[in-house]
Amino acid sequence: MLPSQIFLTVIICFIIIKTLMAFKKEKIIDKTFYFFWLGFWLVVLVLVNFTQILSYLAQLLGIGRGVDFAVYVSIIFIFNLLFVFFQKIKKIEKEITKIIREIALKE
Amino acid sequence: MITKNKVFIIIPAYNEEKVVGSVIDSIKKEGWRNIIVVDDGSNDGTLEIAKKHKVIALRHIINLGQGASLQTGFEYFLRKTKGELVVTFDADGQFDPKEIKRAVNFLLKNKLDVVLGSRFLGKAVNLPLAKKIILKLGIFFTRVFSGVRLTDTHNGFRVLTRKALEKIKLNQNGMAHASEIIHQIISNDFRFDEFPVTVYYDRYHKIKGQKLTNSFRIVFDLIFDRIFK
Repeated sequence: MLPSQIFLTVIICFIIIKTLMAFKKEKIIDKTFYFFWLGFWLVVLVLVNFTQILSYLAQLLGIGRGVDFAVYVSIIFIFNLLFVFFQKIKKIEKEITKIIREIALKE
Repeated sequence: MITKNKVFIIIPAYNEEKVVGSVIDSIKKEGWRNIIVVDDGSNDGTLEIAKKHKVIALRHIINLGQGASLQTGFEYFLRKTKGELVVTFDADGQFDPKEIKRAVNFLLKNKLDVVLGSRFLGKAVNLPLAKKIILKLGIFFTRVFSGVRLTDTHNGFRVLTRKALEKIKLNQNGMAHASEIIHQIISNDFRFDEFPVTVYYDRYHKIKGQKLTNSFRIVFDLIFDRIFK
């Protein structure tokens, strides 16, 4: 095990424990999100410790290094998340406008 | 012929306590009785002053932006009145209320659905250079987005018929509504024309007017809306 793997494993375990604790305290209301979050970090934990999986996937796609593959996937993932958030914010903004307008018209 | 009681003047106002009263008075002096002030969550006495001046005063409990205020005014007009025409008018006293009648007559005479005020066909008194650059940028972007050549796109002075308002729906809460309204006029095939109006700039407007950074925001809002609609 490389020092970086130990380091990452500790951090990921910490995140997983935090998530479990938050769920126990019912801080997480959305169950789907909770399972997704937990699953995501478990997958990352596996990938960190079995790097050959990433290397295999990377070679399959002709990317070369496993780490590069991980970075590319993360960036795509994050951008997509950004898009989803933008849309959500816009939707919430529209709903707030509607509420404020109805209040203004009712008074 | 449309009588004055079929015309509603909509004034979106945000923190305009210093001027909104005199603007209302000056409009009333011209014989217009139906005035709707939409207070956009001001934290000064704008709403109280509007109420004191006996106009229809609507209030957004939080600040949403000028586009949202106009849309609220439009919806009040459509739902609660039997009016025929709407005139949108700025609360900061930069327009001349005498021109309302002329603009309304211009619409009626030419059987238009919408009249858009233009300070570049009319007069822009003491127009600061920075403001001019912003406005010209607005005109440029409207040309790019809507493919229409107008001389003034971000002018708050407009006359609209009920028929037009039944179709127009402003989704842009902020200042980008000005370009949006033009886009909707075009896509609905409304008959429209520009009308020369006078816009007065004094120190008050120079303080309160649009900042240069706002014009970038407007462009961002427009692009965003086009992509994510």
